[in-house]
Amino acid sequence: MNALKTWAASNRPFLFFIGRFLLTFFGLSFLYSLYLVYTERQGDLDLVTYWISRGSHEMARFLGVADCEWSCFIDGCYVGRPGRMVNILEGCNGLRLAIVYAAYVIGIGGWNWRSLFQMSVGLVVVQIFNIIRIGSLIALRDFGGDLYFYFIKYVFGVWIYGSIIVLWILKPRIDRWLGAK
Amino acid sequence: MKKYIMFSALLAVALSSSAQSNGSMFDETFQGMFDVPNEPIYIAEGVQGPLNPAVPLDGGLTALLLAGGAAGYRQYKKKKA
Repeated sequence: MNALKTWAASNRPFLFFIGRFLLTFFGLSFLYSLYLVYTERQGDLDLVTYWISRGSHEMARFLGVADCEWSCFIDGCYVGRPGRMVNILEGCNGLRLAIVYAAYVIGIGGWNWRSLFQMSVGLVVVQIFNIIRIGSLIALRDFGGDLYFYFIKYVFGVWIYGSIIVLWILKPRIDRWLGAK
Repeated sequence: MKKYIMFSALLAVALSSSAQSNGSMFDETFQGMFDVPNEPIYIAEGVQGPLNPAVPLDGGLTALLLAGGAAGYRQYKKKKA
């Protein structure tokens, strides 16, 4: 018990970080859940999934998927060539991962303009990575073969989680660039 | 009495004819059931996936939270040193 108290006393800033990190994560997740409940009651699809699927559709067309179709319903969107579509659900939109990224930024830096700026830029960067991921998956599904399953299971998992970890690693440099002490 | 004999004879004829037709139906139904087909047998390769598969992400959310905690701890250790 004494050892734990000593450790807590010498790592007080880290404990404050964990507190801020978890509070921000649960707070933002709660707000997002409220928004999802609201859109469900309105009989609408959430705007994040809508715009991510729209971006993925454009990305797939850019990657050469001819006759790529895009249609949204209350439970998600279907993008791709008929018969070879992928289903973009709320869980695919990457916003929960962006919330974890934002929680880390707030946890380290606190609530100030630098953190809010990094949080906003980070949200956009993570979503760009997600659009590239889903657009490529649509193109791979259109291409056919087993490559799609390999990429969805391994490559793109590393891709999207890696993008967040790289942003975390770059954070001290971004802080210095923004003029933090 | 004659009536009964005629009825019995008719019944016997009807039963025997129905037994014959049943036998032929039975034969037709099971004819060639155990013969080996000439065409190659179709064997399905693998299991067909869903028509429009989802592209989910959030399986590793807990892992990412733990990674965030670890990254924060590393950063504070660096600052302390």
